[in-house]
Amino acid sequence: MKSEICDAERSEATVDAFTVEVIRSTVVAITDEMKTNLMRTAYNMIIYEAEDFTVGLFDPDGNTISIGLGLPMFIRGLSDAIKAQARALGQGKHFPGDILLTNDPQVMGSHLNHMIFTLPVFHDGELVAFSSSMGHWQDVGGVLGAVTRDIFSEGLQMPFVKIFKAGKQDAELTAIIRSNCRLPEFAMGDFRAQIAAIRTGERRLTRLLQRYGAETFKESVRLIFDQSEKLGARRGGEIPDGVYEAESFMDDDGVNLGKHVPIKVRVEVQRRRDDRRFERREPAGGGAVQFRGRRRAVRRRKSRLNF
Amino acid sequence: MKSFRAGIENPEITAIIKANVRVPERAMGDMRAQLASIRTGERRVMHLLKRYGNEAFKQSIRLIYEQSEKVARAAVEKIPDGVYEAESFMDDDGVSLLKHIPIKVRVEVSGDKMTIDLSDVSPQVAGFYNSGVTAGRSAAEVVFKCVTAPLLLPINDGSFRPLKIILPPGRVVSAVKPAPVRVWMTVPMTVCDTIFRALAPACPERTIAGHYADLCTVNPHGFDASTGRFFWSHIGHPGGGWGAKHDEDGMSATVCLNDGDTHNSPVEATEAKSPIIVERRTLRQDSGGPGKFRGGLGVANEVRMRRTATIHAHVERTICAPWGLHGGKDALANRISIERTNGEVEKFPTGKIKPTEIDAGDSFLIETAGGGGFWNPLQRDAQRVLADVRAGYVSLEAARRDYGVVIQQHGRRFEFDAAATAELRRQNNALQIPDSKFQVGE
Repeated sequence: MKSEICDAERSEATVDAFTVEVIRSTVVAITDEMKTNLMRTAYNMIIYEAEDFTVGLFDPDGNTISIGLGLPMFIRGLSDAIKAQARALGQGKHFPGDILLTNDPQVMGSHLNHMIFTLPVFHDGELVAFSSSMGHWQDVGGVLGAVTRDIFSEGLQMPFVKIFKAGKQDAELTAIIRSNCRLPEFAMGDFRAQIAAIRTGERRLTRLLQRYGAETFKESVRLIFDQSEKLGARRGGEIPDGVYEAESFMDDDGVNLGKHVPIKVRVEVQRRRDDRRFERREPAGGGAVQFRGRRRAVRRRKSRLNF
Repeated sequence: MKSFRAGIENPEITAIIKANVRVPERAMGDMRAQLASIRTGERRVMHLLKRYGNEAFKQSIRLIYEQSEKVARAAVEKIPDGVYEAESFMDDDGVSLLKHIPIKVRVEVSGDKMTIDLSDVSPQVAGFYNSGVTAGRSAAEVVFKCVTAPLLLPINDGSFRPLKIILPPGRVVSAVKPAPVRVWMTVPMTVCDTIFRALAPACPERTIAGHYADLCTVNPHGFDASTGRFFWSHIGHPGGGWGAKHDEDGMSATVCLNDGDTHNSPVEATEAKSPIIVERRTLRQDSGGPGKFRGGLGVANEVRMRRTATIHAHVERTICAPWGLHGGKDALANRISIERTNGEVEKFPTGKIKPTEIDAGDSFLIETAGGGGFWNPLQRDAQRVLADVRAGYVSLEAARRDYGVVIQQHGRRFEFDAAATAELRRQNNALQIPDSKFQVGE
């Protein structure tokens, strides 16, 4: 395995293997520090004890460079949110000091309690990465103690906004958040903790960039992606080719009690290609138990995942 | 917040609004309409200012305030000094069913000043019937304006200068966060009626008997598979009966006090926009409180669903019926029921229905209360009772029972029996406690 990676680097890389290794370890260390930072400063126990959060570093296209998972099920949430926000904003609309905010389940797949803060990291005036954090807030408004039947009952929906604009916090947006949470002091504590975490990410990443320069960093990230892909393909290749299927079910959607929610999956393994598809999806159910599988995201799995 | 800054709309604020409403295009339409309205106001005021200048405008406003104040003070001066109290209650807060919410008010008149004290109105409640302090103050001001200068001079803040309102925080009409306030509009109406009730002994000619005091609105919502859209049927306010006054009958089928200037929704429009059929919208016979002047009639509004929907109701005042004043009798109270396609009728202990599925073909019936009567019904002109019977407002039985008026029916013809009426009224009068000028309600 080692030799295969080294071969690849020898053939096309402009960055030496040691530097790539240092950068790989550093981005993981940075996300670890972001994680620690968030846990030490968050106000609500769901974040600092239960670790219902995710932090990460992402390339300018929104691909995952390194992710500190609290929630494995959130493995795509940050990346997809960043991509969607970039699409909505348009090219060149990220500025130093901006911090984006959203909790849109359509782009991050989970629920409204998951507030995502994202900070574009600039080096020498160039957008080089995003530092992002998701934290589960204890309360974002909505109905308490009932099976909700639509998202409007579930609390404040934050579309894509810049909660900081060129370093300045938007007081009106902050007031909207405060007035929609039952525990505003907790919410604001988590708010500040998440911002501290992504600023830690920014600070550490900036140091790395100062040391190695943007080009070396970007090239290393490219190589890290390639390595992960190769590793994924190799491990995937150990599984015999074929189509594998399974099914199971959930009890019900909380509305039609006892009416099972079927889960069917289909995995296709082909040598030299890692192409797993979930082709059958159940339509969204009526109750609050829902998982928005993102077909496109799943199909595009190219093992860009740092384990 | 500022939705616009120096003429530029803040797109993030607009996006937040759009993201948080179920029908964003309607919300945005209303937003633009409201902006157009305040800009019209701005444009017209600018015309006025251009013509007269800022100084003349400001000075005039000051004088207008003073005029209104003067009129209000003169009116209060005419009310005998004293302390006047009354009470009533709401059914419940929707959480603890049938646990009444007491409404006690105290009015003190002294010279040209009036104090309305709402300290003894119920503390804020667990259900969503609370309202902020502004609503409590508004209730007091509405009554004050009606009592002092109902028709003279339009409303401005000068009108309320002689009025002092005592309303500590934490009452059902001065609720503090995080009290739920979804149905904020209901309790203040009963507060208004109760203030009128308190003032009835002091100035009967300026008060009004109780009215149905609830929007009585039930708006089914659901998902319409034929359009693929969420629907929210605005069936509108059916209207109800208003209280009688010292010299005239109450109005029938009229929007309640809180929404006094809003309109009901035409049947045709609601049927066109929502999957419903309005089976009937009729006046509710005998719902008006009997009196020398009769309370207005409530409405029976029956709506059949064309699609499965969810309904929930928060109709109030189903127990504390709109009261009569000075010997006038109470009206019939508000009521709601559901009729299923199999003919089964569901009734409810109050007007509260928790979110309930209602199938296509099922219907619900809202019967709104009438208004209370004014003065003893035995004093009502028998010819007016006859006219009420002919119009179907009052039944033959009620004419006899409540008004002591005997009418014979021959087919479609109603004949007044003068001799029998005189005798019945003589007997009934003998049974009554001597009418006190200050007797209130039954």
